[in-house]
Amino acid sequence: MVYYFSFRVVQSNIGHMLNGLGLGLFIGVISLFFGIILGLIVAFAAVSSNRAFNNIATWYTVFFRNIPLLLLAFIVYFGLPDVGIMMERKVSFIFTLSLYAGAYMAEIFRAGLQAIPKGIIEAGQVIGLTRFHICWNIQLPIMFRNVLPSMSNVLISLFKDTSLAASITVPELTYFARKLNVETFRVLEAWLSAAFLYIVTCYLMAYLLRKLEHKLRIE
Amino acid sequence: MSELVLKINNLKKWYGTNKVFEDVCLEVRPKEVVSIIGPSGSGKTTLLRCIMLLEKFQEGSIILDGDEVGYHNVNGKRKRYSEKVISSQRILTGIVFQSLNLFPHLTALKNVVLGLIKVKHMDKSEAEKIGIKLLERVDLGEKLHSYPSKLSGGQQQRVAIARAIAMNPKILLFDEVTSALDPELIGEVLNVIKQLAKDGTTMLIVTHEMSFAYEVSDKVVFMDAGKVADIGTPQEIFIERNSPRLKEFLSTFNA
Amino acid sequence: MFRILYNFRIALFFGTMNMVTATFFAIIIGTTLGILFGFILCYGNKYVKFPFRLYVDLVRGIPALVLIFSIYYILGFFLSRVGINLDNLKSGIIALSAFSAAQVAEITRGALQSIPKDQIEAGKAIGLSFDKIFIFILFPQAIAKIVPPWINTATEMCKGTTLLSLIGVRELLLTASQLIATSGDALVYYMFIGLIFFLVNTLIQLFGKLLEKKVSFYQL
Repeated sequence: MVYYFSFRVVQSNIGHMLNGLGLGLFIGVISLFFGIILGLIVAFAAVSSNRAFNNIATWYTVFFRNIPLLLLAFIVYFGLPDVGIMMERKVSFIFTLSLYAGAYMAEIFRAGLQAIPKGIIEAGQVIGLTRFHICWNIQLPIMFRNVLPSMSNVLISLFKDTSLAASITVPELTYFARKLNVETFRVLEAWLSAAFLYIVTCYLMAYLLRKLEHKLRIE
Repeated sequence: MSELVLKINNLKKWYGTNKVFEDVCLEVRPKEVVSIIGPSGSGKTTLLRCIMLLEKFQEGSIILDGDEVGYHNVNGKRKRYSEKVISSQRILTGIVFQSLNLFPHLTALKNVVLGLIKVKHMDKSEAEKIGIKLLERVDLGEKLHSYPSKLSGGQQQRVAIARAIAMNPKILLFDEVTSALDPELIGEVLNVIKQLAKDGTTMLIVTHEMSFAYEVSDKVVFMDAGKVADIGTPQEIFIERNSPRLKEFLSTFNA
Repeated sequence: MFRILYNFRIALFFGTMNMVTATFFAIIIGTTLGILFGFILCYGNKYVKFPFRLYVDLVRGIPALVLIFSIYYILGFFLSRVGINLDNLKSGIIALSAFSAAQVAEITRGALQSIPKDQIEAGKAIGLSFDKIFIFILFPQAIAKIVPPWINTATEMCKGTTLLSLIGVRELLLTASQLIATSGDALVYYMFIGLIFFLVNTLIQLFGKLLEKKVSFYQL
């Protein structure tokens, strides 16, 4: 069984693939950004004393963690037009991924907030800090430092999830790999190079994020 | 020679360039209780672990009940026995650790009988009869089916003692078993050990509890900086205190 | 809406069956292999560990979709050369199993490494050999730490079956898309499918919580 490698196909397509990779990173980071904002809101709703907020938060998290991301992407891109909401492909996927990320971030933030000893919050209260100051100056900094490792993991997962955008023809790395495969039948070159790019990117991200964690931990 | 339960000949162990202990010689007769005292880092715990074959040593020999354990001569070269043989040699000694090491997912009774069932291949009901008796002996008859997480530190140590005795070892080793306990729980454990001594159990005890060592021992060994610095009766070691180093060490205890 | 669902009931039934089959096998195969790999990664020497470490790191560095496509196209290509035709459901299950095995391996490795080394010594002290120490002492404690993250992996497998629609497996998502192609409305039908996934995942999590209770009985 012989297979003749032809890396020339990779060479001529490398531009597209790298662009796709860049787009994937871009989508991942933007979705993380929105996901963090959503997650913060939902996490505070989850720990608040308002029963209604608690319930909404729980439903949100449970819903988005039990529904497949691909289905969600289809709902947003193919389904929402039924009720008049139409989005361009990239925008719709970023919207989807942000909602999805929000649910995971909400869980992480909720656990992070609940892990802060009550004594620290009381210490803030007794020196007269307002709820806002306690939240902004005490809770959030402590929480972020604690959840940084989990957040790094989520970022890397989100980046890998961007591959699903290929299913709604967003010109992302996986989309080009499949195109290359289908057009040239060069199975190994197409998929090995895509896998290589993903692995290298994930490792670089993990490495850089770990260095960031280390830097922040010394304080 | 075969009268001695334990004989250690010129034991030497080093770790990289660090000498852990050297020229260690020790004899323990049947029903004798020997205490080992000394400053931290003097090699006491490592010595016990070597006797237990949990650690390797480079020179010397350990003879348990007449047979050399751990190493033997193969064509003139010194070789460590295979893991299988070592497993079987380990039941000659029993050890109670400083940090408990009870199996958290087993009840007190199951902790005690695990070895009997799996190593000695005893029948379950037979093993449990022995286990119940032992737990009653350490005053835990009502806690047979309790999990370690529900027992106090002192109770856990007593289960650990019952577990060690269950395998019917020739000699019982104790590695600073009360050092990790709250003060009010130390007494119950020491009482169990005192009772064991009365019952004629051969024991080797590493401890910081000086008055206890004085009370219960037939012989006291003082280890310092990896060597056996002094051996004597409790009277000789604790009261007469002949060497300056010994004096210095004991003065920190106000015994 | 219900009329159309009724008309498609057979397709939907088979779609659900395929989803459940794929989920089931992916979980079973992945968990079994994963625990084995995790054991090797924890206790093996560096030569034995190496291929498994490589495998786990490679699989976790690529998206599940890329793994599914790769196995489908590459395996399909080479196997067809030797006359074996792999249907897409099987290659999908292989891919999902490979993916979950890597995750479970990491979970298992972490759980085993978190058991204090003293436990091994305590087992040695009463004369147990290592295999018995593993079966009666280490594994029962490790399993309590493995189950919670494993529930996560199991639900990921269930959700991952939707990715198989992209290699032509007639699971729920693809069936729904086909249904929508004839009916025109999209949102309601996709949400209906979402409901099914929600139910199945909730069942998995319920099962998982029961399992968790059973293996953590001894903890405070």
